[in-house]
Amino acid sequence: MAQRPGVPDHDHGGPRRAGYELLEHTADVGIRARGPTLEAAFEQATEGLAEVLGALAPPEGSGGPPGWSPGASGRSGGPPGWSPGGSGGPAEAVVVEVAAGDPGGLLVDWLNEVLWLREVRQAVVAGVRVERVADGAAVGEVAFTSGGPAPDGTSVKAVTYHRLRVEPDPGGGWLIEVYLDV
Amino acid sequence: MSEPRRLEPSVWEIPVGYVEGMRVPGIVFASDELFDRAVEDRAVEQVANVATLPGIVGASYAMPDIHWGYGFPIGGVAATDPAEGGVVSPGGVGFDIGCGVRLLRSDLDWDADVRERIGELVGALARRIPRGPGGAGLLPLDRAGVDRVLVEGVRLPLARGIGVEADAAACEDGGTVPGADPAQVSDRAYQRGAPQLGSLGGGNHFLEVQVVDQVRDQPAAAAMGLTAGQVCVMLHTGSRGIGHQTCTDHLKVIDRLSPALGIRVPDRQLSCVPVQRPEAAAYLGAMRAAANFALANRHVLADGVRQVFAEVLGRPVADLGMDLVYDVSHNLAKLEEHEVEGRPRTLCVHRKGATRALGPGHPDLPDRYRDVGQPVINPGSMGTFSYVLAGDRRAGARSFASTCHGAGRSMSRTRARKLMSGPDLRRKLEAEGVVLAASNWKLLSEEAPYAYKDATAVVETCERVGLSRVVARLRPAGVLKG
Repeated sequence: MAQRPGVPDHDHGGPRRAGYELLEHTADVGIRARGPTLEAAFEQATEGLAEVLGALAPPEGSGGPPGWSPGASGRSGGPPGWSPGGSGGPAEAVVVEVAAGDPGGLLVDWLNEVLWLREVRQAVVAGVRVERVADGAAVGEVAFTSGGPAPDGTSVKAVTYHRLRVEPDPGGGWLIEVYLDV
Repeated sequence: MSEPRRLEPSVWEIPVGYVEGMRVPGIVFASDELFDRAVEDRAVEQVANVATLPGIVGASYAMPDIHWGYGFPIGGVAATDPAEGGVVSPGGVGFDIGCGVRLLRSDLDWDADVRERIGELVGALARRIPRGPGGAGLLPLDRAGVDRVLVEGVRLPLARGIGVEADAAACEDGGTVPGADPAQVSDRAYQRGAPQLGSLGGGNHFLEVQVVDQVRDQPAAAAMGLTAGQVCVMLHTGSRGIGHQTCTDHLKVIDRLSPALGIRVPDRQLSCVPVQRPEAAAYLGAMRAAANFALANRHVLADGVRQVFAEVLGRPVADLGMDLVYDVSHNLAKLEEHEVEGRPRTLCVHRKGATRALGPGHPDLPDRYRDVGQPVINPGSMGTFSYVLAGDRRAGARSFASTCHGAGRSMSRTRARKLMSGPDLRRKLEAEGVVLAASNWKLLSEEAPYAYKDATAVVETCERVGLSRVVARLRPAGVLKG
């Protein structure tokens, strides 16, 4: 059977670097995310979701991972340096913790939690820090800003398990592929 | 690997063995061109994947508007037998539980009554009808009110004087899906979606002012109150955040349980449990509750549309003749009676982007449609024709009484956006005489007509193979995008 890999929308980095790209789908949209650690890959997947939601487009011509996440480069302990993407009020960090028996289940639960928080707060995802993905739990913080103009992104109904991949990347680090229902 | 073969014109079989674990073949209703697209699009592989579900009966079916979905193909129909271990799969309904389409007719003539006022009408609708992501709907309710909606569907807005009694009779299930269990709808789902009753949402949801452009089946059109040149309003939306979260919540439980029960599926989104298990009853109770929210959502929006028409045209609502032709859901699982191999069986029929299509004489039809069959409302895409169809009696045996739900996408959103900018598309459509209002011009071209299959080819294929017949064609005059 013909296997047609998703076509990169734009690439934020090579396999060993943290980054994400959006994958084409006939009706929906996918995210391929990579990171040197599972936590970094989770952060990149969250940034991909944030981009689809219209929270923040990656900086024009940056060529690298979006600079607004404390993610892979900013994991230095202490309060994360949130730099809100959109306009609006100051970012508010929310602790997010989900539990599941496998990394794929954790990723879907994590992203669905971000989506739910964003909808009930009518806010914009402004930053993410994943502290730990291990022992059946994912723990971290997601920052939201509210009060600014409505985000100009796509409505996302849910995060799906379709063709879900959360696995060691042959090039080193971790690889995630996940599709959103839009 | 076994290859697909054409059984008869526009009917394709995907034989057992196409993917590992198939229990029944796949059947795809499609012209050669539509079928080739479905193979390229991975959707045929998804038809085969669905054929692995425990207890599936007959075949895994796909309608001509089939395209790549997330687990089930969009346009997929699968029936399972609960008495023989048949399963329910929340992915076979999807996140937008009860999403569907409703069509209002009117006594308004395009040329005489509306042509000169269409810009004003679209502007007024754009101001009144909440749309885009999140946000509050026309009828925000407290928890007790939402609970009633989840159980009663259109009955709650009717009790508050919104809409008319005849609206309920023109919905599937009379506007109230029985067997709803609001206790299975989580607090999180309430928080996410309860304020949104009476809102369109985003994505492919829309409201269109349309004109009946062609009548092809006069008796059926007469039963539906449709005549050439008449103004209609079509709206497409679902259960909003409450439905999305309900699917997410129950899918999580079933995703964890499914492997523990020894159920192996080729795509994790197909996770499922036997209908007779308590987790299935919980999901089905919640799904029906969300479906009632979707029915009430379309009901409240339709009432808003009538009010706007009355205000802009300066005539009382009762003078406009804006009666509901019908309301269909195209994302739902239902327990239905079907005859299989000569005996009646109660089956759990999943329709994911497919519409129930009862043929003439079916006892579940309202009296006015008993002789012509169930109306099926098929939206096109902005700038292209929509269709009103009627169920064909042969669909009962061919597809568990199912037919297409629309044109079906043929192009990714990113590619569609690259081909033309939103503002350019707006200029093009307005040059063609379609007045547009969008909540997000940047995203408008994601839903461009060129991103969809040819709706005419889809409905004519359904007619050729005996699923439904074309009653009338409608052209868009004003479009409100989510």
